[in-house]
Amino acid sequence: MLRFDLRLALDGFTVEAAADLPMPGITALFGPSGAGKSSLLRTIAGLERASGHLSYGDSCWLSPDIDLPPHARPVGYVFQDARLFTHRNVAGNLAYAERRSRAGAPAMREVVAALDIAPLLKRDVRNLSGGEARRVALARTLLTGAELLLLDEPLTGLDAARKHEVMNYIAELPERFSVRMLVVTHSVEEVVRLAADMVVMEHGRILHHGEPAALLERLDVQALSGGFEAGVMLTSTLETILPERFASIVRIGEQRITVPEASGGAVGDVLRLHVRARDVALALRPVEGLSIRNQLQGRLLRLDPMVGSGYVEALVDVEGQHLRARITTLAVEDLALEPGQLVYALVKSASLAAQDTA
Amino acid sequence: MWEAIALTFELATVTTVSLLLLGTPLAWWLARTSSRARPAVEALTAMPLVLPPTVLGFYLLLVMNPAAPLGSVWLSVTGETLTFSFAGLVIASVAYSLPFMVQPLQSAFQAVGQAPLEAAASLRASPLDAFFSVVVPLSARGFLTACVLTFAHTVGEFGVVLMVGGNIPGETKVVSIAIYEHVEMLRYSEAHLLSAILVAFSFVVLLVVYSLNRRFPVRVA
Repeated sequence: MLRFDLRLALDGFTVEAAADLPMPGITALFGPSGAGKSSLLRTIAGLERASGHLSYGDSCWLSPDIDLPPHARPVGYVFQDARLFTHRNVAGNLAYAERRSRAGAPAMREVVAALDIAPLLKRDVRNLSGGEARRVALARTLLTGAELLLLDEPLTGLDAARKHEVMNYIAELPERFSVRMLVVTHSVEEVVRLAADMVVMEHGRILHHGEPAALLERLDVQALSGGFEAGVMLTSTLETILPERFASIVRIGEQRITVPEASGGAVGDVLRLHVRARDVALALRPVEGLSIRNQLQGRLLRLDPMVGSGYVEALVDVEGQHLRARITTLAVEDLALEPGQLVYALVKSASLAAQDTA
Repeated sequence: MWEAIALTFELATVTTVSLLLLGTPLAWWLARTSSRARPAVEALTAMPLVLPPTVLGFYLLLVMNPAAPLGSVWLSVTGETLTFSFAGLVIASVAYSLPFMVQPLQSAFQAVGQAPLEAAASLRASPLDAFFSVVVPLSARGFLTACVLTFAHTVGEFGVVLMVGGNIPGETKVVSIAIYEHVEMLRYSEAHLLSAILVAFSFVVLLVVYSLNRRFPVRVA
């Protein structure tokens, strides 16, 4: 639905990106800093002058004959720094968008309710916290009535608690307001939590486009996230909720593991789990007397040495899904690990970011 | 005496309004353009700050006299000469006070920057809409500074007025000229009174400007 073939020359840097994106719900535009993600987003919005083609659905925004100015493009943009108008309070910022909205834009009270902004309406925008400002900026953009929303790193700079809070709001929006979003991020966690589709960018080019689960397994994609967060996405089914333990039991194939309580999930829901490679250890036999509760049986598929470090990334097949474990080269030698072996992946339950994707 | 004061304030008001209309687009262009002509235009705009008023007045006199293009057009349209008239004084004051309007506005517009404009565009505001709904409110202090300084500077002009306007009561005799005339005729008490009024006025105006902000000063003054 979003089609583009764009060329944008910046200071000492060229973005040349072409893709044909179906835009289901949320699409993540993923890549390291300086990959040109934000520049591509700005070009789509018309904030940077580029050459090439750009169309959304049936409407063409950029071609050799057409170049719609930013205010005429039916697209909403949420800036990384929120960019609320300081000469207006929160209500005034929302009213600014409402006055200029398209036909069929959502009503003010719906948007205010969806993002819990009612208590903020009278506030000076300069006194909002980072998370509050992002929510107001999201609300302001929703009010324009654009179907396609571009979000430039909507969670960067927020502390972990605020990040999860804003992420939960963003995850709800596509269904609630029938919008599609292209979200710039360099965080694997955000991709796992939000994205139904994923575009990977580096050095101003689009490297990959596809399903987040499939792309996140790739080492070359993993390397782009800076390593620390590198890991995989597992799909599981919520089986039991243990409210008094603040935990849930989920099923992966025929195996069960415990995860932190899934917020708002119901039994039978499909959950995505983000499992970081550094939080997974391998054992040759089931281990007893250990604080790590989750042990998944699987078959070792591959060992990828990480060049320039003492680590190896092991790819393990668990019930048809793939898990990554970052272990030391010494451990590989001690255990005499080899592809094809039966292994037990020890996963720290606390590292699982269980999220409802229903 | 009151005639001169009233005329002075009328001249300052008309000049400020005219410069607001002319100076705003010029300041906007200077704040945003990447044209190579910008330094030249900036220099021209700042010229009245450094030129002796007599030089400016001399050239204005040449342009506005009934034999010159501007002066003759004015004469044929209005039936009056542009020199030694109130209209001529307004034109001279607009030229003379130009930097006092343009420079604070240019600084204010530059301080607003690109970000709020992009935000406005993303909310479907056309460039003109964004200018009035975002740039003007965010530059409010710059506008206030520019208007107050322009007004005050016009009240304080002398040389240019003397060159193009002369000393016609009710038409071109502003306070500064009246003071000069009183002194020439040794009427010191009248000169004292008018001077004191101008001193008090100037102090109050500058006090207002400096109390409100220090952000958009005239740079070459």
